[in-house]
Amino acid sequence: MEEEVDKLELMFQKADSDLDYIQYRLEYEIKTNHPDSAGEKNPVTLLQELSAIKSRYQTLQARFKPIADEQKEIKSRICATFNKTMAMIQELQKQTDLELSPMTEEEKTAVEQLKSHMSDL
Amino acid sequence: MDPIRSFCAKLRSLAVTLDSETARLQRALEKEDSDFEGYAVRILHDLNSEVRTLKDNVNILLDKASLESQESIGFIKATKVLMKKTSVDIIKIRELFQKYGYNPRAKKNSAVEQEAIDSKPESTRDENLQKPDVKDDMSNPVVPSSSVSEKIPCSPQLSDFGLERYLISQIPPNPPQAVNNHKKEPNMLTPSSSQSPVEVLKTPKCALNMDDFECVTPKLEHFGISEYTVCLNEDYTMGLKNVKNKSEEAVETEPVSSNSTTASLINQQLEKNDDEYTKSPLAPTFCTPGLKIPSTKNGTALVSTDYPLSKTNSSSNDLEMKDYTLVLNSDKCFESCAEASSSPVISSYENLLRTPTPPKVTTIPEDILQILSKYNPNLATTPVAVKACHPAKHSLLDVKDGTSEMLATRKLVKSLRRTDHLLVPFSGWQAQIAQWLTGNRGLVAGQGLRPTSHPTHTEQPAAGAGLASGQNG
Repeated sequence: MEEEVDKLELMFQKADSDLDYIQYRLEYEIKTNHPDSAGEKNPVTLLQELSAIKSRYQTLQARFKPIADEQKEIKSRICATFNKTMAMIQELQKQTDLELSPMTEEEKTAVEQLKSHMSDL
Repeated sequence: MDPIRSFCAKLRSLAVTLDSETARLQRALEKEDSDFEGYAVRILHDLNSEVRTLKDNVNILLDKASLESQESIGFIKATKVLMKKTSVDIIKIRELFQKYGYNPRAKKNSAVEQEAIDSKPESTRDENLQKPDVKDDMSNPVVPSSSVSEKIPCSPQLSDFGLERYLISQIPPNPPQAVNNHKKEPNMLTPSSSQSPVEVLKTPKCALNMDDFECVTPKLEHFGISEYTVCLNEDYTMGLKNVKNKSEEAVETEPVSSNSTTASLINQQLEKNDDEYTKSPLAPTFCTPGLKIPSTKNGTALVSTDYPLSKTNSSSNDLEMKDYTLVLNSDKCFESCAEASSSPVISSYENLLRTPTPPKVTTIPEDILQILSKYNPNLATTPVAVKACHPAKHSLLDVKDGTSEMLATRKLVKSLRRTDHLLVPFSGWQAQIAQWLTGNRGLVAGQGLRPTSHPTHTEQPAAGAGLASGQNG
């Protein structure tokens, strides 16, 4: 039993080393025989790198998820506060008959943007 | 046994696959096997597609992230703009409210501010909740809300400002007192009414302390009365008395052969002399060095005055000369009053201050006078004594010669001639002044000065010396 296990282990190791040798041999050949295309990365490595990047991105997204949620909540709160403030000011203005400066264009757009934002949320 | 067997079987198959593949790859490496080419191309193709898809995924994610960031940036900008505007509006509203007594919310906990603070949020809450009339809120700046105290809008009380301790207890006036007030006289009313509330009201603690304040009767010095100035008051009283007398005399004296102009002048001068005592303050000193001012002691020196010599009979009070030295020596005054000596001299300075009554005499130039005198010798000779008379009366009654005006001018010319020789030789500007003085008499227009060189009268250059010379003559 143990001998077979050892044999298997040896066979695996041999296969692994053979594969490494093949890879090295290929790269060497590419470098020598096709020097112009030697600059490009090996797609395999590219693939590997891409996968690594993918995994890293996944982790980052996981970390930033709560932050994004917080941001959305803050936005909604800001919108609500603004709406309340605007309403109060309008009410006070009505009561005091005070002539407040009319809203400029950008202010109007800002208000609308906020309103749309509120609707989105 | 079975799991082990299955595991062993899987392991074996894996090993076989690995082995065969490795051999195959090795053969392909050595280029011994030719069936790998298609296989390799397929693998390459797969590889490429996989890479492409991955790239696309990455791009999509990137775009999404940038969009989100852009959106958040825009949101922040909009909020900033709106915040600015709302803050401006709030400040405006706050200023408006502060005008009407709104105290901004302070975070300190001082006792005085606490009440103000309490009123403010209450009031704002009231505004939001009840929507009361803002005008009322404005006029009642510290209207406490319902939670603080139930008050309808009314005039602010002291308690609203936290100043109850200053509240003076007001007791309504008693009806009988009111009845008494009605009954009493008005002048009595005020003291009684003022007293009664004073008695009723609590006097505030900070009462007027008169203890330190000594009520001292002002001394005579405070009124400017000293032993040196007592005589002045006597002069003043004398002057007042004389003014009264003079007015009586002026009314009484008849306008007999007296010229209106001299009479008017005399009157003016009399009044002026009296007014010197009664009027105050003194006229400013007209410092004219060289201009001999008649002193009180000797009345010989004469300045450009037109005071006629016939003034000797005038009353003794006003013969006092005007001292330009601003020092009224009462002794000299009395001396001068006592001596009813020759030509009493009075400066015409005071006269100049007053516009003399326009003489009714039309000025006749001297040459014409001379001509007239030839034809009418009466005019040239006798100078008639001038008496104080009312000019109006005089003009109506004087019918002696039929030429009353000419007579008057003639007499004045004579008097001027007499006085002119006493004039001091003037310097240039002094001559001008003298000329103005003579011209202001309004009598003889064309008469120029005849400065006669009197040996005794010499020019005094300095002003002080001039004054002294005026005194000394």
